[in-house]
Amino acid sequence: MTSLYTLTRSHFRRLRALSIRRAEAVGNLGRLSPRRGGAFIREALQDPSPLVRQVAIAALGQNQIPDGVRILLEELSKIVDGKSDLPVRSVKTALVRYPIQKLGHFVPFLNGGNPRFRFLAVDSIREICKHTEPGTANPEFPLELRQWFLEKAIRDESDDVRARSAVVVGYFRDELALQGLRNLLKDENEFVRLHTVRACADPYYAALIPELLERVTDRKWRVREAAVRTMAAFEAEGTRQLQHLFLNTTDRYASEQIAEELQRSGMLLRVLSALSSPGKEEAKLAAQVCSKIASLGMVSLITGSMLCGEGPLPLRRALLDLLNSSQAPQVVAALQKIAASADDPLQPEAEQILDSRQREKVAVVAAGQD
Amino acid sequence: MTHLLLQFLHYANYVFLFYFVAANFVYTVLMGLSLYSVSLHARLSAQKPYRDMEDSPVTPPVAFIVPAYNESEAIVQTVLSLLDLNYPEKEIVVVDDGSTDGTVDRLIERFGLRRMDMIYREALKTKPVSAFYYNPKLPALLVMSVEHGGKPNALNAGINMARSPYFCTVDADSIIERDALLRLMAPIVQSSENTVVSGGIVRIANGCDVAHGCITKVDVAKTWLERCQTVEYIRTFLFGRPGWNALNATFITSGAFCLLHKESVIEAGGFGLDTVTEDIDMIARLRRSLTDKKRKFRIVFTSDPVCWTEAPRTIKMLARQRRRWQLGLAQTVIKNWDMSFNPRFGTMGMLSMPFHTFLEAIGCVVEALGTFLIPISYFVGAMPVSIFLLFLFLAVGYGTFLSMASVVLEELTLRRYPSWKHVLILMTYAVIENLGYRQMVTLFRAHGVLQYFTGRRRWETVEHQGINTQLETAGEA
Repeated sequence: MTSLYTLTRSHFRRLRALSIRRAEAVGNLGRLSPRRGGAFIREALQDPSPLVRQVAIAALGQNQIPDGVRILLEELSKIVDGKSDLPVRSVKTALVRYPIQKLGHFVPFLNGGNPRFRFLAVDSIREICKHTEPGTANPEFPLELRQWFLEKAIRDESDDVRARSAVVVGYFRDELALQGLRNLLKDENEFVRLHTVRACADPYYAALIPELLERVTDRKWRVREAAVRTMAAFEAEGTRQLQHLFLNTTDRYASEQIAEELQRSGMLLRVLSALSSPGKEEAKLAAQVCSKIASLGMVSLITGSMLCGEGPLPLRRALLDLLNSSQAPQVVAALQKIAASADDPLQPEAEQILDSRQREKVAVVAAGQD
Repeated sequence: MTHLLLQFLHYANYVFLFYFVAANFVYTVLMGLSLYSVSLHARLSAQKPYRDMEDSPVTPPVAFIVPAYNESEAIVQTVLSLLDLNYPEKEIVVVDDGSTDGTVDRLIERFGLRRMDMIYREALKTKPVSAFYYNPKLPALLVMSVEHGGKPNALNAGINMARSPYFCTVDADSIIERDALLRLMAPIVQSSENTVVSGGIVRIANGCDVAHGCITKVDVAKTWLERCQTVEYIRTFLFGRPGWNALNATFITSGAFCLLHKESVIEAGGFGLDTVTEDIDMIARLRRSLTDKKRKFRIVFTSDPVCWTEAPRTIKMLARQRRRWQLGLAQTVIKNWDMSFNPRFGTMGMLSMPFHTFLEAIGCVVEALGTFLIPISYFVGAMPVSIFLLFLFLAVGYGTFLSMASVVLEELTLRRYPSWKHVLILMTYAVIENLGYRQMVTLFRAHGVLQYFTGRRRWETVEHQGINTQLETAGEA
């Protein structure tokens, strides 16, 4: 009878309508100081209602009671083992609110057998690290945990664990981290390479530029895109190397990827501005980049800059010279628009180009008839 | 002949009686469920359980997909409201569906966009994309122009360019409340089940003041037509949908503001091109796709995230809108007839689908016929006065009660209309709505069903004046 009563009472206490007051109470009590609120939160975590437990979990994240990380990781473990009906995201949301100084509490949990748990734990560590400045994390990061990442995590059997570990390792900024990332850049799994490429977006890892350039021609487009974006982190050297690769690669996918990123990042507009100063080395490189982009048919931004009112006259003239042989419909349309505009200082040149093309076309047709 | 007519009316009256009793019974059950769930949800929402999500990296990124066809009047305000949303990580993809009124030009001018060439990867097949517009200083916004192919095609194109794991469909004339996306995402983040759709509430913006993409003052619309629609929307979104949601049988979520899981939608084949209400069709497609793959999933409706939209201001435009909705509903339920009474599809298959097929899609024809034949029956003596009064009660009285109850529920829980004057106006129109407006809309809906059976499949465009035209000097355009 006692068991039946307990079961029935527990069943009713799970009902949302009957648990809402307890949930509201936990939410309010959770705002007390960690010393005072902690007892209520711990009590609420045993409540039969998932709603009350969920509010308690959120309160753990806000309140940050001393053993909060341990409690959350235990809850995460229960979820992974199918022993809890709470959502993973709620626990993670609470977990990532803890500061880097609390990461030591993760260590006892990381050598367990469940790869999904390790992935969720490593991902939480990754998010906690994101809140800190790279380099400054070094002295705060627990030594034992650091060793675990450098020796075990980056070699874990789970692709997800390795992928998320790369980002954490990136925060260490030392020789071991660099070597670890170098190995992960060659990982067989696409997502590991993707996360590693992103983790390398830090001027400290300039030594990895050659490996990152290899990833610009990766067989997976997400990795290529990430690699192009990462190169921007190395500023002038990264941009120079990227443009050099762009001009020399015969890989069409890589070329298109770089061309897109040059536009999206605004880099192409800076490259175009160099055309206004002919004779300089930057102008020569800019002309080559623009020619290559035009050969890919990705001329919208360039022709847009060529039109009246869009750019300074020297730039527009330089673009006109560059594109005078391009047959792309957008280029032809832009030339026609300039040629039709009497006020445009480039009108005579555009007209000349179009006339010359017309004469060539006539000559070709005549030769064909002969 | 007279005898035959009276016989016909006699039997027809049984059909009408059955329809009104069945429909009102279902509405009553939905009302009870909605009262329970909306009240609970309002109490929980008061605690702002989503506030942890505001700056949490665990909150999934979302792509807003805004299909736009000739929306130059409203598009800038819509994009401004999306950019201003309180959400950690978002992107906005405006898909111009071959507009001819300068919609793209308005966006280029306002946001400093430049035309660029981007790689377009077709996870879903679409019509060709003709241009992309982007500003490196505003990386969250991307505008793309596609060859005119209708809203579903535009949505699919937007999905192809979206990078986030979830996307939110938004109409080009909508204003989203600042915390609305957090509230819409909350059921996804806070559930241990795989939630693939989260639908929100749509409210009428007519009469409200708008500036910088935000509703700055909530007010009731000025004309009787718009006020009736306001009450109708409150009833639908506070009674109908929460009720079905409580039964885990959501069948309709509004495409004006709906969050979906991108990969699930791609696996389901994206938005279909064979109906005129792609939002209703998508729910059926998702349910079918995920049930066939034997995956556990959840489709939810949340009663507090709010999207404000412009309601039709003339009877002609209202008629077009309701015909299209009804045509789309008919297309979807008939296309998916095998889901009705099919236990594989859970409560949606056993309850919601049959309801929407027989009482909503086909039932409106019965109701439209009843609008004429019931009074005729009475006046020719084929119906005693007691039965006639019963019909009046079922068709008009009970509907009035439901409308008034929904206004009360709105005031007790969400309180979007701040003053007593608003409540009085809404209560008055809860009565007026059932004395002519509802019957008129039923006729439009019946026309939509007729269109289905006569083979008409065309999308009828509803013209907008734009929400911000009421205040031409407020805010930027």
